[in-house]
Amino acid sequence: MTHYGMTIDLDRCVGCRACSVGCTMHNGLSKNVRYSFVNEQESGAFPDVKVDYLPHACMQCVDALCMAACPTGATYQTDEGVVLVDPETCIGCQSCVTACPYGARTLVSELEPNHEEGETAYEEAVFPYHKANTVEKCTFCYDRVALGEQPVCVATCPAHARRFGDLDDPGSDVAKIVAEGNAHTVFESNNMALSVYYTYEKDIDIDALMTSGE
Amino acid sequence: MDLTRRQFAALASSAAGAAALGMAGCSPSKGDADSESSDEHAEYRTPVSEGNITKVRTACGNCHNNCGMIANVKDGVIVSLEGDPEHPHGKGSLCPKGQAFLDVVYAPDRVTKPLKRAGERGEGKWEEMEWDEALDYIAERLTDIKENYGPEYLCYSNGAPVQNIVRNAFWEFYARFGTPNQAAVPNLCFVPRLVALNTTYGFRNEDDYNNADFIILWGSNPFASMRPSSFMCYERKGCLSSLIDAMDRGVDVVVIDPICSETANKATTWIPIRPGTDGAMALAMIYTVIKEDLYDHDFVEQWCQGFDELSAFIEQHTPEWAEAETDVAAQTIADLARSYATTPRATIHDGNNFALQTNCVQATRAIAILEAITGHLDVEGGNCCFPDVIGNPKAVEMGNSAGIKTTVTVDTPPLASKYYPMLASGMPATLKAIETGESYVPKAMMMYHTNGAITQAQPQRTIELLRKLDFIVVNDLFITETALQLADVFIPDCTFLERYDYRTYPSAQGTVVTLRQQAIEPRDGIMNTYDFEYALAERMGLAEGYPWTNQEEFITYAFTPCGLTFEDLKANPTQIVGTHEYRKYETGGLRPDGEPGFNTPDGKVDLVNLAFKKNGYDPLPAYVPPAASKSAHPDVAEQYPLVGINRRVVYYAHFKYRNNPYLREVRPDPVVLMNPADAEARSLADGSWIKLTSPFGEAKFLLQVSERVTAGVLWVDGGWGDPWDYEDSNLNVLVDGTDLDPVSQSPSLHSFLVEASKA
Repeated sequence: MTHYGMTIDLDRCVGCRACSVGCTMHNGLSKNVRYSFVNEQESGAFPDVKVDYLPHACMQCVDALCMAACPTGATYQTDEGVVLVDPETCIGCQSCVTACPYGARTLVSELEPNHEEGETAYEEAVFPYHKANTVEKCTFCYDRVALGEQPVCVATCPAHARRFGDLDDPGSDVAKIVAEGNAHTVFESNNMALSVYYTYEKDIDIDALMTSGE
Repeated sequence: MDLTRRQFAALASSAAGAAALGMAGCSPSKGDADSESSDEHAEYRTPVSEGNITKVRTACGNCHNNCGMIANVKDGVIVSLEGDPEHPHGKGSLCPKGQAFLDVVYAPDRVTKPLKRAGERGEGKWEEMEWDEALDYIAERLTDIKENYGPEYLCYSNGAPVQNIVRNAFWEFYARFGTPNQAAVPNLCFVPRLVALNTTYGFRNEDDYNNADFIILWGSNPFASMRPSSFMCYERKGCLSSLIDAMDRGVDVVVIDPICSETANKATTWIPIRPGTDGAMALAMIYTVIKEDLYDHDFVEQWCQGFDELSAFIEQHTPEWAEAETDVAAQTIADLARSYATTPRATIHDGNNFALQTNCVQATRAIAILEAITGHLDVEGGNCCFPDVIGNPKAVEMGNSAGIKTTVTVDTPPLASKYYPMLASGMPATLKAIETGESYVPKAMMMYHTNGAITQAQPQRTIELLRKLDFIVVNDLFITETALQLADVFIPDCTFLERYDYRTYPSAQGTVVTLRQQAIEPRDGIMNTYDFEYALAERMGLAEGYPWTNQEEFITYAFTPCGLTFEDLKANPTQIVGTHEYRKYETGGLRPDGEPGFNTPDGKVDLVNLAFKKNGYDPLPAYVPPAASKSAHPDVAEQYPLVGINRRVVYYAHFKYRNNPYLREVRPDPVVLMNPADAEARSLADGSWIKLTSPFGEAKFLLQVSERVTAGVLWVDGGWGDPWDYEDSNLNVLVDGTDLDPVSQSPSLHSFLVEASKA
């Protein structure tokens, strides 16, 4: 079976947020919805100071709490393990938003233009693919992946920090990186099986980064 | 649930999974397990999944890097932009600015009709004009000025050449009109360094990061500027990968910077230095190299001029002397000099910090000399003259940093050459001429893609002086502060996605040539700049023999030297032209005459700078403390004890596009970083608005208390001050607009004296 997964090398990440902005633009998101985030945290004292970054979005959990929490079955998993939301079935109850430990889901309360002046021609072209009062999140760019392309955040990363591929294919980049044994997931002590892995040799506390907010 | 065996096993083996299964058991769909199969759900629909998308290969035009880009166009509207995976430089990567650019195209506040000022300058009252009407009006006013005063009374100001068209627009027109007077931004860019490098060894070097075993990033922050997109990373994609890969293979990447910048944060070694003292450190490195006999004897004897004078000059510049000036330990300086000199494949990148100091040209001279005497010029892993860098005689295009070659040459000396003979094209020199009336005060200015009113130090002074001009045309996308305060006529511009353009990139594999393709029709019929320029030339009787008449012909004209045509590039938008070899000084590849040596008056690396001598500047790189420092102005420093440093964040290029909500949301406010000790001493709270005050003005910033800066130093966001953002937060109001680098007119943007207080 194919199991799509992603690895993110935090030693390479420079925190530029090309991933997040690219995600928003590719997915044509309403102002009140974002799928991709980068948390950052400064530590130490000058000159022994550093800044760590944690880019994150939906972890594409193997055993997705959001899916379990969904009362209508709108949240489902594709054969490749990608967690998606069916906007025709979603009732916008936000049970999944509460269930998600990673803050990856947002309710599209309304389709809100990103400019105060109203929808741009770009938004007029992309907003019809979204539905108000449904919940949205990262889809691993399921549309691009179906065409054999990489998710936007992977393709655009100026530091080449991200890889995407089939975790079940031992020959894929992601499977090799995970097999090296230095791949971690956020909140690892929960023993959740996730599809997004972080690698780093430096001293980085990804759980603290995840909870520290923006 | 439609679980695979693997998924089921993973699910059942975890506590959360058991909970998930239990909860699923309670869900309304319990009775029909198959209903959750993906087959049962509505298809995942996006513009991409629906198809009918035309992919147009082009190149980003937001900053100088010009990453290969694909515009995804559906029914005439761009629905997304992505990196071009086939472009050899970025290989598919784009930074946030590139990703977000499509909003600029469709922004609600974009101007689409020519405007004529209807109130006073600064009032923001405009009347719409038809395109013909605007062209007639400008032609009439310019003809009037030419006939009554002379063509040199027109000045022109093209902005930072983030696209080649920004560099090239109207150049043929200005030449035919007959004015030599440029009043632009080279003093804020790499051009000051170019003056130092060109006169020392004849070219603008590029770093061979892919082959280097030792890398010094001096006053350079590529992890925020994304500058290495200028380079090809051979192994991996991504414009930063050449540097990150170097660290992965064990290369020491040393960052010299007062601040823990984005790059210092990731570098293997970070050497904090006192702001503006880099020249002193470079001299002490030369001292160590010469005194410890670490220089390349063969190279110095055969290819350098002035080594004896340099050796005598360097005597007093010991690492101990530099330690007192720079706050960098003498041992650190000497060790760095040793490591650099003894690593054959080593490179130094001189960054923009040098261009934004009042002593930047001589500091760059010192670094250039260091590169030369250690034998690191144009060798593998060193500072190379790649194809297409400025100074490489094998040009593929009709232009260089100074703009496109014109068919007419203007013989009149530029107005500002009286003050700055080696770099007359900066705005400050023209402002000085306006202020003093010497030699004359220009009457008109055409400004293209530049926010010149507020990009220079002391913007209020700039505005007051430029308002003395009778007629100002501003050509841009938005009513910037410059348009608001100065324009008599505003001409809307096309974005780079609405017209053609090109870019040439240096690399060790040859010159990469990319056609920047037009992806969509210009919004609301906006005239592209090529057509506008030609139409203006026609109206003024200057069009006969014009080397092109439209944008397609312009592209073919621009590539005359290599013979590529618009049609060639349409068929294959990214091509590699020519080849590269190292040590071209041995083979004649560095000089237009094909003789061995360097492209300097004597064919040597001029350690003693002959061009500087001729123009009355110190031919040796004597260190002068930065203008805004305790040593230069102890009285000012007592009242304004903090040193501010201009910050450029990755989300914005220069002053541009803070009206783009997709970028603004990641950097909503102008921020200043201050050490906790300084904040505490002034009772300033993290997250509060504070006021920075200097002898020249005051500006407000959001305080971020941070250990990334040492006590006494502030890292201040630059680039704010347009009508749609924080007009009171332009750091240029804090900076002296008249105490400048004597060669390059560079202000103290990277070390200005301020005091901080509650806003």
